[in-house]
Amino acid sequence: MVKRRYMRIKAVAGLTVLMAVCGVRADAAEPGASAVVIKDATILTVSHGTIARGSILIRDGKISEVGQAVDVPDGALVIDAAARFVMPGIIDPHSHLAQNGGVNEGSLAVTSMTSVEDFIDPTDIDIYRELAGGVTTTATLHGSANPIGGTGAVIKLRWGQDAKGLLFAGARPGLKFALGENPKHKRTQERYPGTRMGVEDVIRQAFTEARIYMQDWDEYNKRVAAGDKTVMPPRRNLTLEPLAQVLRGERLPFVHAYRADEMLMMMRVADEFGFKVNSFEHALEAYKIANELAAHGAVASTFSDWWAYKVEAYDAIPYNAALLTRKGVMVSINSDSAEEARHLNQEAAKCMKYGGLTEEEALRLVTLNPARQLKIDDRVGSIDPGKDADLVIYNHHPLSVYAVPQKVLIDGQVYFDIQKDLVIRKRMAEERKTLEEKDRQTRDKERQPRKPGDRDTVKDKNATEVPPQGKEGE
Amino acid sequence: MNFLPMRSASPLLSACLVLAAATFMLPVGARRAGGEEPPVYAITNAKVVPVSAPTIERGTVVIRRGLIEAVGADVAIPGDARVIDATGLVVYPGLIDAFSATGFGEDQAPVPSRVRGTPPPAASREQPSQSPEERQGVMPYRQAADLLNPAGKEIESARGAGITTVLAVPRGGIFTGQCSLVDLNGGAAGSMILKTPVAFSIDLSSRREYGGDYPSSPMGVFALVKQTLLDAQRYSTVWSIYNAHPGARRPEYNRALESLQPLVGRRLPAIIPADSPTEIQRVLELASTFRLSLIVAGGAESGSIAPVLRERNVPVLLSVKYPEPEKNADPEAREELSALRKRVKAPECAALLAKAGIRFAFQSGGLANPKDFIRNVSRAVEAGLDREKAIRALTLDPAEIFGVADRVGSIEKNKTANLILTTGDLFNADTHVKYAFVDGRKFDIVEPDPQRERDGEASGTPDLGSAGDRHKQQDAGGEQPW
Repeated sequence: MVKRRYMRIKAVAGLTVLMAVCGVRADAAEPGASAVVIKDATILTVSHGTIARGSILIRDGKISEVGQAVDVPDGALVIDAAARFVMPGIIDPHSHLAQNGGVNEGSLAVTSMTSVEDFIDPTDIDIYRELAGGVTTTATLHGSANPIGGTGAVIKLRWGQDAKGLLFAGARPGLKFALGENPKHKRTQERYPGTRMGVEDVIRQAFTEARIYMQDWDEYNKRVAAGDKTVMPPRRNLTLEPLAQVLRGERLPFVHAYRADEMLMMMRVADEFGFKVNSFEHALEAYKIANELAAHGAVASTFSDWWAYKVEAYDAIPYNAALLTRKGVMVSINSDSAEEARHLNQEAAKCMKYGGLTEEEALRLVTLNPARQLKIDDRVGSIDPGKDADLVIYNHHPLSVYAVPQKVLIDGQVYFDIQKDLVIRKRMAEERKTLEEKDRQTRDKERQPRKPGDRDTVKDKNATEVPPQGKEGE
Repeated sequence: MNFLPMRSASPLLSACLVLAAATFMLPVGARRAGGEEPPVYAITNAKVVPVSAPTIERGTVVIRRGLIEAVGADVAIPGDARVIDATGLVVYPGLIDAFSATGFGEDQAPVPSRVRGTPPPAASREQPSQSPEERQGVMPYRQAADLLNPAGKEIESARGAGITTVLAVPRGGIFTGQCSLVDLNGGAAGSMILKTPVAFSIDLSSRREYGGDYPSSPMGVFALVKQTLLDAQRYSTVWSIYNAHPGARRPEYNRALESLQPLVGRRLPAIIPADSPTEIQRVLELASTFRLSLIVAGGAESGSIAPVLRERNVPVLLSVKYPEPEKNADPEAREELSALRKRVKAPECAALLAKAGIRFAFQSGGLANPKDFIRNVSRAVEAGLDREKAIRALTLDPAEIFGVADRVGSIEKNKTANLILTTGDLFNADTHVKYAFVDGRKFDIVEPDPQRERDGEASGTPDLGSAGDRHKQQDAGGEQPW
């Protein structure tokens, strides 16, 4: 049963182009064409409270006005959202969505030369499923097999567009680090590091090399500027460049970590090398070191109530997010899973039950806070004029277990519509029927034995035999 | 590009060698390096499809010294020609398989990779017999021409399927080497080379096991390719600085980076397999970042991003190894719609490329039975590809893509005598190849035995001398092995 159902969902995979061309875009604002108005909804701005019966005007993909009443320009598409709830699109700050490059380059301890951005798979069906769960932006990261993994990508779930079309233009690039069990785990071969101490050593060693690398380039540029024509350029090193960017503050370090001691270690290393840990990913023991995290300015991106699935996840508590919030730490909830990502609104709701966050604080865990974590809060994360019109329209309050997204907009365009979804399923079933019929015909034809009479050019085989020996001569 | 002083000696050396060779070769006269001079042939009463010109319903083709001496409806038959009455047969240019593993025999040159799932003992990790580049799969210095095995059985079966020329692509590793165009002429390796090097081959799918040596993921392979290209660019820069400035420090010679100079200098293209639109866009991006001249191989779904390929003027070596339904699939499970779509629509790709005006050539894609090469191209014809265009994409188009259109790909005077004689239209199901001529050598293709055909075999025997040809063979016996 489970499998059947899975297969059926899988069938949705094929609708890449269909989604884009046929149904969904039909009622989206035409590019450049003026406006969309979402009318009479309960608007959860996340940044400045709730508007009971309000409207949103979207112009050119951006939120233009929010309030009790907004302008309705001529020709605007009006979405009647009476009795509906609108909130900012969910931002998942840690996933491995839409990748076809392996997620982990699990060979070396330092694989910062690898890039998730090179391997965005726009046909990954999980994009559509997460979109249907209200996610509009996700940071898709390298895995945690190595102390230093690869560079990540921030994407918008613009289902139907190509790999480039998914990229969140202007988002700050990141680099994945991993502490604890995963990077020290022994794999199919012996690999240093085998302990947490070793992980620290590998990271310090890599940053030391990156410093030397930067010095080499500085020295080179200086000599070139001084007119030296014989100086050889240093080798461009794709492994060290992202680390140099971290040292220069141009790239955000995302650090997979569970235990308090390893997070403290990483902050010490960061202090030593003069950079800031942008966020600790999962950070299940972060509540133990809330003050230190707040002082360093690191975001704790955690789970609501996942624990005990491995040795380093035993001290996790569901109060983590609430305790950290109260201590002034920026907290976000991440999915790390294509399934979890489909109900991050419910994950946020759990943090009200455990620790008593307010509704707005809870919603911020999956919207504004991850936007701040990814340094894209000037663009997304709340319903404010000037921000991208990335919005989810729910049938119930998103913190209710009954809430199901009805429409999801990205840049003012409707990328998911629960009604259109039904139409698309029907169309796909028809397409399947046609394809299967064609396939059957082709295969029947190939199976057919060849009849001697089929020969159209050569009627009698013997007549065309040319015995060369009789006719050849010099 | 010669960056090294040691290299500058080589033209002198080769000049000496040429001089020496010429001195020795003079008495031999017109004899070809491949051995026996093939006889003169006149193929008469045939329907001739020259590809470069309109079809001749009843014409003659004269072959001498491995070249086409004449072709036309009113061609005089030379007195010294062996006449082949080809009534009822059709003459096509020999087919070109534009991306092939043919020519290397069973086992290719050693490939530096481990047996699946066997972690090497720590001591052997370094594999001192292999250079560091080889351990990572960077072997751009390998050239298909140097790896040929003329005795390979697959050569005969390819010829039996009408393939007279292949682009031999070295396999194994990431920068797998340089490709050579090879005539399947039954001669010695040196005589088979039509052109080399033609292009560099980069295989992005090559990688180690997870947890094994770097790179073990597609991301890792791609990163390694980018780093290698950066290194090759820098290699060019530092040697130019060195050569221009006596005060500069001498860079180190590196075999792999030295051999990559024609690639980063855009003097040779890179052939990179890519099937899905995402994969194709990835290699297009790579090519534009490093200003590489690119040829896409495989291209299973290239038709769906035809406009992009057209805009970038990138040719495609289109595989006709169409996807098959998954073997041993769960009978309860339904095939995914996306997989079904790919499978059913695969033969339509060629027509889409043709319609978009993209240069493309067919390749066998490693089909187990070479006869499926034509068979599958005919499926593309059934799916809407123009017949003439299909023949072109098997002959003149690959010749143009590889820059040898003045030598092969059509039936014209002075072109290489690579021809096939078939029992009917190339794309009819029961047509078979009766004779193949490669570099003027005639091969009788044995009537397909249904059983053997199923087993993926084919046969052909070089016909160097029957009846009146014996004295020539005796001559050949006294020849020195050059």
